[in-house]
Amino acid sequence: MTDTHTTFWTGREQDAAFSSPAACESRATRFERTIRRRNILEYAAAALMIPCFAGLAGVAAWHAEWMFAGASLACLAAIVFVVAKLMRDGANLERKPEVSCRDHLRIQYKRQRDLLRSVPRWYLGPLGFGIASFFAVVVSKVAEERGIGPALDGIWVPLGGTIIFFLFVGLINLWAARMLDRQIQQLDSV
Amino acid sequence: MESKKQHSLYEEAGVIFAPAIARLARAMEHNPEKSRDLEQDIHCELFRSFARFDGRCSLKTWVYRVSHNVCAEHRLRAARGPKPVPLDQIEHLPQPGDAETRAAENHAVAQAHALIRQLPTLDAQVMLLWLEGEAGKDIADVTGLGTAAVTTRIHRIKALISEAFATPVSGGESA
Repeated sequence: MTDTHTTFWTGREQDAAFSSPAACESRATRFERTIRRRNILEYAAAALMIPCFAGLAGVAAWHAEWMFAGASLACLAAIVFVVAKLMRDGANLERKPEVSCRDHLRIQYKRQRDLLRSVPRWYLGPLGFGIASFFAVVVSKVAEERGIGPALDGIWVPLGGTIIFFLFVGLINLWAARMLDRQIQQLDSV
Repeated sequence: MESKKQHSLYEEAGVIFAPAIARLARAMEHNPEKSRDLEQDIHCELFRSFARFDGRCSLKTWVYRVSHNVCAEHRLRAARGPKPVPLDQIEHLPQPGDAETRAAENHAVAQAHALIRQLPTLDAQVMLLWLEGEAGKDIADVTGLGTAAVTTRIHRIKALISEAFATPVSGGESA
């Protein structure tokens, strides 16, 4: 080592000191704050959506609209499933920052990649089924009164929009997962 | 989980590594407020991690791993900037912006910060550890890279720094 480093780099911040252990006991790190904020958002979303669909299912059942009740329950089940999946993954986040930097980066990338890659399975699939069941119920109700032609005429635009949105979400997540996959391969090749 | 040993390890690490961790946080995050926040996060992660310290690696390796990994997570969360450029594709040290130079209070440090922020995380970690004067083998232990990969990166960093400061830089690795 020459003076070049020591003068321009290691000579800095010489008066730095660690925070007191007491401060660390009461401090949530940014990582913990991120997890906490995400959990609060998930609880809030669930607290908003679950009563809505539960109420909808209840009202539909009260009026003996069993297909509407079923579609509402399908959406309700999808939301519960998605929120449970997010909470489970957050809660299971085992973290060991003392592993080597490469291993740590790989763990982070892999976790993100697996979550993104499986979005069609745990997010789009269940929610898509719930929404599709609503479309099916609406088409069937209109078809009973006016025939299948008029029922389908009114459904193409919202159905098409929904399919395009779901495809967009699925593809963008798969694309992001592929980017992470490349980064994992780069790490493995070093 | 707290123990006398945990506190004593934290105290010992603070005496030896507090300046290096402050430099690491400044290099990885140019916003002064966020940089101080990051530095405190590293302290707290270190304090908690010492409850798990089993002595299978040196205190230095442990401290650097935890510190660099906390910074890597910070970069991952903030990864909205330009695409990183690997060391072997960089021809010259980047020119820092005015704000960066003011924050660093030193053009050489600002240039080093600009390069570190431009590099992929692992390359940045190698550069930071080399700037701290760590040997190639120690850098390999912290990063998990092979010594040959570390040596290649160090040669590249040396060339860039030597060219920028127009003074020969030697040493800093013994891989």
